[in-house]
This record gives sequence, C-alpha cells and structure tokens, in this order.
Amino acid sequence: MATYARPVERLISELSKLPSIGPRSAQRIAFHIVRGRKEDALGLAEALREVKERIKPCRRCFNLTEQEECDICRDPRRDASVICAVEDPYDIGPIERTGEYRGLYHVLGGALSPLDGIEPEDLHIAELIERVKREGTKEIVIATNPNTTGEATALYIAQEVEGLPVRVTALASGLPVGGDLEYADEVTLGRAFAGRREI
Amino acid sequence: MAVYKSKGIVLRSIRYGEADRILDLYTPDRGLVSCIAKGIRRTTSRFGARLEPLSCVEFVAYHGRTLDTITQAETLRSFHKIREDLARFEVAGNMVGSVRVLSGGDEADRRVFNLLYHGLDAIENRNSGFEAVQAAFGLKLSILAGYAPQLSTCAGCGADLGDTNRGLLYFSADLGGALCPECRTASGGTTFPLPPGTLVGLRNLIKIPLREATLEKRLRESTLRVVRSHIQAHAPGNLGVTRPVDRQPA
Repeated sequence: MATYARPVERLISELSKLPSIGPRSAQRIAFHIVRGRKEDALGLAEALREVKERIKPCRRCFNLTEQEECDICRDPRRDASVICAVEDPYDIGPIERTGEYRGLYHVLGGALSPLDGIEPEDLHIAELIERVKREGTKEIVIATNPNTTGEATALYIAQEVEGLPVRVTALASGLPVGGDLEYADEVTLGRAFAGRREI
Repeated sequence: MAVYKSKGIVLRSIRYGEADRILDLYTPDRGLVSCIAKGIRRTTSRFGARLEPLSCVEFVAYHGRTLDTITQAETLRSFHKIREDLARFEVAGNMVGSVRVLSGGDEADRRVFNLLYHGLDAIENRNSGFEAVQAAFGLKLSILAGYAPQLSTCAGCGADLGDTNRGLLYFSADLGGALCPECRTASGGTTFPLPPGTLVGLRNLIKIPLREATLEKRLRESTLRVVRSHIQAHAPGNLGVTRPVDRQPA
C-alpha cells in the first residue's frame, strides 16, 4: 500500500527524476506544493508545459528559442563575422553579462570526452563548420570550459577548420580575479605566465 | 570521521550538483576510489586544475557513506601535455578506460598504479607510436588483472605456436588466446586472423618496458584488435565498458 495518496506519490516520483533531487528532497518539495497556493502550483505546471511546447533549438546556433532563430541570431546589431562556440545554452548568459562580446554564438551541446565515449558526432561541430563555410565567418572564439573535455573539444575544432580562412581563438586562462597566488595550481599558474601581458 | 591521505591518478571526472564533481581515482593503496570534490567547478575553487583527469595527485579525503570527500589535493604530475594533444589524449583515455574495466574493484594493486603512471609518462614523453604504448599497456594490465592472453601455445589444443610454419593463426577473445587453424575450425566462436608476426610482436610488447614499446605499422591494427577484444571479453559482465575500449582504430 502506498504511503501517500496516488497523486502525491506520483508528484514525488516525478520530482525525484530531476538532477540533484533525491527521494527526501522530492518529498519535501511535493509537500511544499501540496500545502502552497493553488495558483503557484498551476503557474509552475503551466511554465513546465510552456517550456516543453514552445522552446526549441535555434536552427542556426542551437541556442534555445521560441522562434526559428534566437534573438541573438536575429539581432542586426551583432557582428555576424564572429562566432563564439560554447558547450551549453547556459554558457551564453555569463558571456553576455560581460558586455565585451557582440558577435554570434554556436552551442555545441556538450564537450568531447574520449574517456566517456562522447564523440564529435554527438555534438554540433559539423554544423559549426558548415556554418563557418556558409556565412564566411572570420573568427571562431572557442569558449568551452577550461577543463580536459572542453580543451579536447577546442583542439578538435581547431584541427577541423584548419585550411579554412577563419581565425580560431580561445578564451585566455589564468588566475581568477580575487584569488590568492598561493593557492594557484601549477597548470593554471603556468598558463598565466605563458599568457602574461605588458602593463 | 576517518581522514586518510593517499596518492592517486584521476581516471574520470563527472559533473555533480551545482558546482561539484565526482572523481574516480586509482590509488596504489586503496584501489579505485570514488570521491566528491565540492565546489571544484567554481573559478575560485582551491582545487583549480589539480583534479583534472589523468592528473597524479596526493590528496586528503574523509570517508563518507557512499562517497569520500576530498579536502586537499597537491599535484605530483599533471600530465597536462597529454590533455593538450588529441592523439595523446585519446590513447590515454583508452588506458584509463581499461583500468576502470579490469581493475575496477577496491582491491589495491600498486603494480597497476605504477603501470598506469609509467604508461602516461611514456605517452607524454614520446612524439609518436602512442598505439604501441596502448597495446603494451593493455597486455601488461591484463596480466596483472589475472587475464594473461595465451600467446605461445594454442588456446584450444595447447600446441606450441612458436613454430612459424604452422600457417595462418587466429585469435579468440572468448578462449583468451591464439588458435591454430584446426582449433579455429573446431571452436565455432568469433575469431579473427593474425597476420604473420603478430604473436611475436605481442609477446615482445609484454617483455619490454612501456617506454620502449614499438609496433610495426603493418601489425598495428591486428595488435590493437587483439588487445581491445581481449580486454572487452574479460570486462566483468561487460558493465562499465566505455566505448574507447572497443573503438576500432582510425
């Protein structure tokens, strides 16, 4: 016999499918919803329905959008000669917040990981190369995460576009602002030295 | 809260939660351990790049119910040159994948740790012939794991295969070794032919140190196929076998 009424059990079961939500957390959230206002719960349900029905990948850059193309791709003020390749749609937000970049994006959908069997065909790399050829892109800024898989992806893209008239750059890596040199690891500090600049 | 200190090579790193990672490390004294590194994905994390895959680190952790938690890590050897080169990285990926498959338990074997360290060292320090290191590593690891391939005598009838006049020989991953033509016909299982010289090359790879491993170009594919299929066949229940292990050579 189920501990709670069937709809509550179902809600707990559905919530526990979410990342980082275990059975206990799912139960807490479920009871919060049960006890909360009806409008809030229906608002959440409506938001979930809307996002699944209306959001799709941009046909040009694979960012999330309601239209065929995302707001950034449709913005005529953006510099269409530069494409910034990112792993996931949520990597676009932090870059936009810097206010330093006015080009377009391309969402790869992850990073290559020979250790986990994620191959180039699993990502939108072929679409990026096709796009570079089609749109006459002058520069690809690779903004994958500065870790093993992100760097393997950057190396692979650079290798694949070799021979095309496009400049490939990667974000600088080095010391985080606000950190202490004492705690920097050898690889990060080594890169910071390699990328030192005149002041 | 039992705190321990060990050294280990990071085999795998998986994103977890908001800013954490779950790491698999192979240690000489505890075998394969799974740890969580909290906050490691934050740019201000004190771990920095120390716990990237393939890094050899000295770390401090405390036991948890399911996962240990890493509190400190110092780099012993970063092997960053491997991560900065796709060809090296792919081969190293195969090597750590094989360790996870064949030495995945918590039974410690210092020799496996040393073999992996020397394998990564060989990959980082040479400019070509990475497949030879991969093949030699796979064979040596199989032996350490108790799955030595039978390469001197027929895995079917036990006949000596040192005699080069026996004609075309075959390899059966299911039987764990080479087969003479007669036993190949009788075995009925999946076998594949070995070009002349493959067995001698395989035996040589077992004998010599990893850093000296070489592989004739014409034997590259057959040698890697033997090693890959042998490891695949001995993966416990084939669970956790990663694609790099059974990937065909380019």
